[in-house]
Amino acid sequence: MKLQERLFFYTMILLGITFLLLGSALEELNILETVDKARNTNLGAWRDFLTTWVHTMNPPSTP
Amino acid sequence: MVIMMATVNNPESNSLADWLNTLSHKRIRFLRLLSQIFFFVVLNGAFLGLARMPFPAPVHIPPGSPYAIVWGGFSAIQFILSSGQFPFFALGIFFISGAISGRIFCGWACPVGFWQDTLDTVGSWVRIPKWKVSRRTDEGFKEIPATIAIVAFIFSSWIGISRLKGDIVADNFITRMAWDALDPAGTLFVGWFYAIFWNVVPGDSGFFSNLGSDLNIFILNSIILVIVSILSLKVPRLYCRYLCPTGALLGYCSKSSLIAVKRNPLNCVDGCRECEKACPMDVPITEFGLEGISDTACIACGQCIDKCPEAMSFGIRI
Ligand code: SF4
Ligand code: SF4
Ligand code: SF4
Repeated sequence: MKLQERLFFYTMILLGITFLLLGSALEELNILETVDKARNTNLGAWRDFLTTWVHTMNPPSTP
Repeated sequence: MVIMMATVNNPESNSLADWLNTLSHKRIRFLRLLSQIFFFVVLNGAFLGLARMPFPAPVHIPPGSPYAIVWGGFSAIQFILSSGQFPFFALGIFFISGAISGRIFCGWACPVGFWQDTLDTVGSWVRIPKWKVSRRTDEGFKEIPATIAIVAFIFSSWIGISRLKGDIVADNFITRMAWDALDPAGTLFVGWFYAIFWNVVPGDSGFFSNLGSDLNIFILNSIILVIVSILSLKVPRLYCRYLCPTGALLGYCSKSSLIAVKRNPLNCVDGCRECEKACPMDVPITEFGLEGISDTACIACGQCIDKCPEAMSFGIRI
């Protein structure tokens, strides 16, 4: 590996780890979880539920 | 050397029987097929009862895929940005996985990549002649995915900033994940799935109705999907090469990846280039040597290794 490539590799790793920690600290994944949780509780009503989800990107208020 | 020439000079097999007979020369392809099936099932494992996780994976999973258990990384980036937060975690996943394993997820795990490989295989079975995209055209078209990524990034940031400022922003597919509303893979995995399995057609149920002429948009999306699918029969991995922003982002992070495909020039026959013909991503393999392929297009699929196991191999850089 050339020096330039080595630097790029380590930068990516360091930046990656920093970003993962920052993202965790800011609870970034909660934004995605809101949608997932609502989808998980509605396994029985696939079609209507998912249609609504795709339609508005907002989980419906009632399961 | 004899074995290598035998491998190299084998004519490309087209029929199903030929393909099965030559399986011994396509060991990596076979393993990769198993891996792709495994990941296709697991990543869509909600139908097996697996719970969804709020995790951005470094592959493309169209949002709204009914049974997907994780998020496609680029869709997650758009969604988080448009919510008014910087996608640190999602980008971190791309940086780490790109730096360590390059685009191996594209070659071995991505459900959309699997769809592209399937079209390529079907095209070979029915003997559809492949198109060779000239190097110049390829270089030009290769800029499209990165352009899509940058435009989507700017658009989502703008939406996110507007939300933070308290402006009223419509909450729909376009403002949340603009690229995915046009994405042909989304049309196939979500739109068509709904239409075929659940008879939910835009226009009669409100699907996409926030766009006004929703049915027209669905028809336009379907036309794009059909064109991309037909072209993918002739150009292997067309979607991955010229459309996918996930692949572009992963490619950029994987230029100096730890795991790489290497070519040993000592075992290479001058002017042969059979490996390049076998490469679905049209990587100029012979420009690289033992230092490893650092082309952003390489998806570590191993087709070149299957073609020429004497000179090509997986390896670790450093
Ligand atoms: S380029 Fe995109 S669609 Fe293709 S395999 Fe990679 S992530 Fe999947
Ligand atoms: S590495 Fe490529 S060009 Fe060299 S012998 Fe093998 S197939 Fe031919
Ligand atoms: S260079 Fe080899 S491993 Fe990389 S994409 Fe081409 S065939 Fe696959």
